[in-house]
Amino acid sequence: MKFKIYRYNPEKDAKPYVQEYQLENIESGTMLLAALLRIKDELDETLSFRRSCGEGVCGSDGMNINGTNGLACITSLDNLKQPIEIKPLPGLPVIRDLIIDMDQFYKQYRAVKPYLIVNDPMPEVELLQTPEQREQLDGLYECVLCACCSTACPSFWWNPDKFLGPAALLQASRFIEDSRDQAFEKRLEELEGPFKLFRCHTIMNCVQVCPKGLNPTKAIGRIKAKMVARSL
Amino acid sequence: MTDQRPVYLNLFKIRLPLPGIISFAHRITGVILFISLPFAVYLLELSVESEQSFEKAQQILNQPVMLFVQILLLWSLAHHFFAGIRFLLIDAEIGVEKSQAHLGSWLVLVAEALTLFVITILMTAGVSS
Amino acid sequence: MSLYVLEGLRPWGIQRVSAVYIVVFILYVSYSLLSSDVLAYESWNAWLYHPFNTTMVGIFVIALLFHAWIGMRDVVLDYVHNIMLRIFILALLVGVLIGCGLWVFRILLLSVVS
Repeated sequence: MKFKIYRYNPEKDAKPYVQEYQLENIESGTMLLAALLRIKDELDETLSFRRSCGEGVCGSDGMNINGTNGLACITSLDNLKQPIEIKPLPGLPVIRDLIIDMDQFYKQYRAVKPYLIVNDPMPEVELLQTPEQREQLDGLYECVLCACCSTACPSFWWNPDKFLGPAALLQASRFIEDSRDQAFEKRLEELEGPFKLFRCHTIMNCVQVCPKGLNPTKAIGRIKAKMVARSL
Repeated sequence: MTDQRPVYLNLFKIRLPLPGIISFAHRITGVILFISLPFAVYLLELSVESEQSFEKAQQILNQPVMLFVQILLLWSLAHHFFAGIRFLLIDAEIGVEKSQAHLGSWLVLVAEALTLFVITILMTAGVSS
Repeated sequence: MSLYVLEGLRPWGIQRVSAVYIVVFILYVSYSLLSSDVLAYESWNAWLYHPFNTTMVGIFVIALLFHAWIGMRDVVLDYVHNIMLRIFILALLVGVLIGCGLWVFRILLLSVVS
């Protein structure tokens, strides 16, 4: 099985390049991450990439696989056309090989204040929700922050410093929808302006690539609807 | 060092899914329609000024080069129209699910192809009659 | 930035509202084209200067100007990052759009007067 992998070592290379690797005896059902680990073990120990849990929970091994962003650990080699082209996630600076600098991404995540804001005195035990209120968070809280969606979004590519991107906006929605949060108005207000939220043109690339099957486009739409309702 | 880090963004290698293509074409056709605005207004003026200028407007449109322009503008309008309706529906949470995104995009393509087909037939019928 | 006029939510809303009117207008014009022979000078002018149609066209022009402005503004905000160049292009767009708008209204009003 043939792999073409994006390589860049800041200490040696002036420019990134593509290196080819050949692996034999790959069983059906093998995930891409296993193949990358074999390349690292058997062929080239300098190949660098992030990975941790290996089962799509931690969100560390996001990469561009044959042109589409995804997690290597839950992408089966069976469905990939050869040679398999592996690139880092697009639009963010490359530190080395498939490892990108996620600073910008986390900055945007922080910008939406991804935590409950409660002004009332805290209750003795816990903040309660009805099952219905809890249901509102389904499809929002599952995000693992792998950055597959934001780095697939053209609006994010053109304005990574001003547009918050699908991942951060999904999290904004997660707290706007939360019945326990008391900063509803303020959260909506802070998303105003031509850039933070409104660079989203419902291109829906984010929805196509999310490895958790989440829908940032829908979440952003709900925020827009709440903004409209609030302004009327 | 940090400033010199490369950014991977090869648009020829990154796969744009069909809904993304529809969206990009919506943008392109919007710009084409914007550029055509002054010419459209010019034709409007010719069409009301006098009978002679009305004929002149028709002559301009009947030039062979204009056939290509007319097709381009008709396609632009048809695509912008149907893709725009899809975007409005997405705002209303219709067709926003992942499973529906491709179907919605195909419907846009089918609708614009049908529209162009019908208009072409009507125009050739109009010319021949 | 004053040239981004109207910020985020409002232009987004105007974009949608104007789009809905434009859809209705295009359907109405298509119907008119199909149901009568407006491709001749007399009947075309009769159609255009029927008060109802003149009003429809007038509203259409306003809707179109807003729609085009917000759309082109979005294109510029996405791709043009140099502030001076951005302001220059946005100003140029406003000029072209207002020019086109005034021109159409002249055409529409001239024969109302005459």
